[in-house]
Amino acid sequence: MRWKGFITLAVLFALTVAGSHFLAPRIIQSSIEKVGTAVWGARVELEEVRVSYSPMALRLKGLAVASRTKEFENMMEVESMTFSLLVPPLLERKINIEEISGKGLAFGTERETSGFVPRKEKEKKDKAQIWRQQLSDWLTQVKKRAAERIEIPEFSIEELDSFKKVRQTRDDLENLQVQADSIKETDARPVTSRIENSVEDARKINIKSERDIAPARDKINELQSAVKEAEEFINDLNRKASEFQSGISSVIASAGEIDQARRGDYRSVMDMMQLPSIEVGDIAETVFGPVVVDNFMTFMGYLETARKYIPPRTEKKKATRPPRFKGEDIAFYREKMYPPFLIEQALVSGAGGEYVKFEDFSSAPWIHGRPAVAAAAASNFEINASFDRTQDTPRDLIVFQYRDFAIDQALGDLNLRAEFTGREIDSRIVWSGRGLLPQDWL
Amino acid sequence: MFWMKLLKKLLKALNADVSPSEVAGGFVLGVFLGLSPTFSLHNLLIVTLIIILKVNISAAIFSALVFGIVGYAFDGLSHQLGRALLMSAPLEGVWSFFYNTPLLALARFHNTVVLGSVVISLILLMPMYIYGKKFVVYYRRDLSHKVEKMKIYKIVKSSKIYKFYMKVQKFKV
Repeated sequence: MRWKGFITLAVLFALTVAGSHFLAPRIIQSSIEKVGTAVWGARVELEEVRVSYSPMALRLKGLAVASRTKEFENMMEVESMTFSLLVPPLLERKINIEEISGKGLAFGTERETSGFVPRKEKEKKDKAQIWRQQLSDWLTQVKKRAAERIEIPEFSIEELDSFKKVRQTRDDLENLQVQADSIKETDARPVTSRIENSVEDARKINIKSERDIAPARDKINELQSAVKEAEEFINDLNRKASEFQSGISSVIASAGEIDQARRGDYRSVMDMMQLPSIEVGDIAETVFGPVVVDNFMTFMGYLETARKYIPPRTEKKKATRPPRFKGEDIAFYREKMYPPFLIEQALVSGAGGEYVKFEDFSSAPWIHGRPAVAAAAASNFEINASFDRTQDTPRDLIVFQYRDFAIDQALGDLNLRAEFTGREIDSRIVWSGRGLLPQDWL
Repeated sequence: MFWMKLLKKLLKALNADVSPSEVAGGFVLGVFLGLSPTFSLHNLLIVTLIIILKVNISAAIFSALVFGIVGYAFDGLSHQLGRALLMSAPLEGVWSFFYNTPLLALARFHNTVVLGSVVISLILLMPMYIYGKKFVVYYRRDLSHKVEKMKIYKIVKSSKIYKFYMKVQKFKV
């Protein structure tokens, strides 16, 4: 035994363990703060990080995610979080988190220092103020117009594009009916019976002497004439069928243009009456404000990203390696397979009943065999989602409820349920408002 | 300079002051390192053994470098042997155990070249050790004075680099 070597190795091992024990938490803390801040766009801070090796766990204390819009406010704060890691997958260079538990989740808490990240950015407008102003303008406009006697300028229904389109479609349909009747009334029997007779006569041709030649020639001429007539009949029938086909296409096109014309007429009539728009999209933006619409669109964006990055079940083809120098990996039956990344269970809760929950989030759900489930709730919103990638066809379900959100002095509710099966989407969005109109209106 | 130092230490070990078992031991462990792919778990064990066992480190490094080059020629054989062993039905339970045991799986014995090279190294272990020891004894008795007379030895010894290296070594002492 070479004791010098043994002691050197022991010292090296001890230094590595000590180094990882003292340095790892700092490195992890700094990485989380730097990456988090860069990704989120506002400060992400941690008070303390602890790493324990038996059981393998990472403990975060005092996680604060600053708001991107309010300088001295945290978007979210968590008192403490523990990540329990499974060791066997780590040896396969896979990160499988058995459990994430957290407590002291709070939203919108105050912070002493600025949460903004210094950067060159465009002058930010107060979005909330803008939409309040917009809503107020819209309500004032509606009130004002309702109080006035609305003078509707005279106009004839004949001038409406939609009416013209409807009339044109009706005319096209009538023409189509005439064409259909004409095809229906076409009688092929005279043509076919003439051919049958001519063929029968032609069969009887029996030339025995010179005298028989002239009657035979007449019968052949008759047959040729009958064939020509039949050809003309067929050509005529084809022409009628083609006209009928183009008539159908024309009716379909005219019917498609009716809705567009209706929208155009609606706009011109509203312009004539000088009333604010009551189209669904415009109302949504006016009533909820651009902030809510913007947030909703952002939420839909996150949803789309989540759907995109939870991969569908596909059989990956293994790259065939050249056997020389690198050899070949022979696969054996695995008693337990681990996905490259997994969060088995995560629950972070707050004192006010708010929580964020994740279950079975994996980068290879077909290995894990369970659909990913996410849920979050706060005082006025709740979201439940499941992303099933265990089968060949992805199936996702998202249920979102946003209750009692303030719209100026009124309150609103938004309910969304969307089910995605493969490429099919079945969704339902319901929003309702209470106290939108002034009391004296009702 | 590394080669020069290594050669000097190896010649020193071969010449007198190290026991033949230590030189042969170092040489055999170096064969393991050289024949199998560098980043393997068993190589970590071999390096630890080289450090803590009383074997000649220069001999281990020298044989690792030599067999690292020779190993490429053995790769085809390693692959064939590894594949035959991994595909062998009676041994399936053993490989499956290795494959499913977390730490042992890191040894990558399910790779044909890794397993084949380890088996070849194990086969070569005893003959290499025995013949290595015999070679050291033979070298000291019959070959050393012949090597010293060899032109290449003289060139190396009389080269400016070698002289400079020896001077530096003296200062170091």
